Amino acid sequence: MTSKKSSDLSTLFIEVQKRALAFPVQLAPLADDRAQHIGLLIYRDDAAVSVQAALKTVLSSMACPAAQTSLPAAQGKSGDFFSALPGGKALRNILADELARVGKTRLPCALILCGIHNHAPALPEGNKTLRELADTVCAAVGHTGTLARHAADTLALVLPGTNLGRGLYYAAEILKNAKRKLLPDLEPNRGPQVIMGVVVCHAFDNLNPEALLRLGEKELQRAGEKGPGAICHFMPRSEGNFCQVTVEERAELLGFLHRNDHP
Amino acid sequence: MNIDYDRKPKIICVSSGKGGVGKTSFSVNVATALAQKGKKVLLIDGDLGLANVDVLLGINVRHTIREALEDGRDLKSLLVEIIPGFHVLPASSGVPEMASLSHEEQVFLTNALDGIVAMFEYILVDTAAGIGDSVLWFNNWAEENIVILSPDPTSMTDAYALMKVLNARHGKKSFYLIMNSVKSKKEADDVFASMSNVLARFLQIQPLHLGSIPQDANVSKAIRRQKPFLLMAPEGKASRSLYSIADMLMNM
Repeated sequence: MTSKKSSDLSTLFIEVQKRALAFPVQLAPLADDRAQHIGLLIYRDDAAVSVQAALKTVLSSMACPAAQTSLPAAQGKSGDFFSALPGGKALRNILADELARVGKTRLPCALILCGIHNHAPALPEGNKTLRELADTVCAAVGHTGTLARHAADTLALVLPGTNLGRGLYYAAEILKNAKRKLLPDLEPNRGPQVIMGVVVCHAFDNLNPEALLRLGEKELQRAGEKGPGAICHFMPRSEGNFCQVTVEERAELLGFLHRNDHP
Repeated sequence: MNIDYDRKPKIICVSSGKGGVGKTSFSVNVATALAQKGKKVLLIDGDLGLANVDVLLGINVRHTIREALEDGRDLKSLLVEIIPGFHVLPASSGVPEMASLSHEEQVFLTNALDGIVAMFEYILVDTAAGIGDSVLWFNNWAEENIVILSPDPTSMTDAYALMKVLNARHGKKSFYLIMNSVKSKKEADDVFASMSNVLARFLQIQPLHLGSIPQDANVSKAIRRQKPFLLMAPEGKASRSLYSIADMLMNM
């Protein structure tokens, strides 16, 4: 992947990264000393630690400092190389664990997908922005949830024991932080714009990780259609269901008392 | 007490919506009846902020679920044996913070409870009144839900509201009804029929008739003496009904 023009390479780089996220692989970006892409190393994410160490050594011996610095210090087995966050496979494992916990504790969980809308296509910038967004998310939610990378320009935040109200509160906090810390440095309408899709599920929804992610993606897409700063949400069985006892229900419920009073 | 981790206890939540309908009295007495029939029963005081299972049983507790949540105290060390086979997990009274547990505390409590439920065959949870978070959570945690109602309009409306919320927001479809403090069998049947019709028509739910408890002076007398009415007046009308409800629970 080294004989392409820089812009072509960036586009290809993004495309490969997007597709690779669906597979149990790890990716190592290779850049030259001016932080220009010169290649992409892809290897199985179940590679032995010794193999990963050997790869690191090889990368270190190459004249590509950016590649060295982009190696996350403590990356999980299925981590995403660019963001140092859990990647596609690890995210699914996290969701599977969380959904099992939802089934056991009967407490809801929320999934917040944070998307960078219209972000800079050049990958080092894009990844830098994503990492900054990750920091922003962590600052907003503290140790409440688990953050992972879902797609090239999307982070996934899994929040145990979180209902819709709290989920939307966290989404709004993240957005507020992002506006304050992430966006001011960038020109209006040019820099990264954050959108969010929030899904809350309960034990009786019986969702699997893929179904939950699909619902999140759908909300993220809706938010994208609404524009920067939009938060869209969905709950399989709406917590906002109108539960107030109606006049008709009450009349039927208590009717027999009055009939007995006036035989 | 040996723990058989493979055995799955029956977890039953007792709620009513309205307060003062007889949840705690029912829970204490049905736990007593089950224990008398040789079952190992745990009664959890689920009214975490205004507990009164200990009051009805006339016991003084120094440590409650609050200590488990605040200091990480083992739940097993909090259990109080009332009669052979019948243990109580007491809660605190006058602690507003306990009335609405955070989600983290609920997760902690779930895990802590997992460590002791296998010691028992029946777990009864006597919840608080109302439809607060902890009431809904205990009802979700339990596999069977008993709703107690009395033949007065507020009790019936609140019981219906509770079931409506549990159904609409938490997918609960099965409820056992107890008609408490009824004047006659006909009154109990009327209350059940009315509730059953409304649940079927508006929520598409068919409740199950678990039994009724007639008005009995022994009940209020036992409450004042802080004893289960089953022990104080085992031959009374309320006690006889209670024993048949316990039999039905054992066949559930």
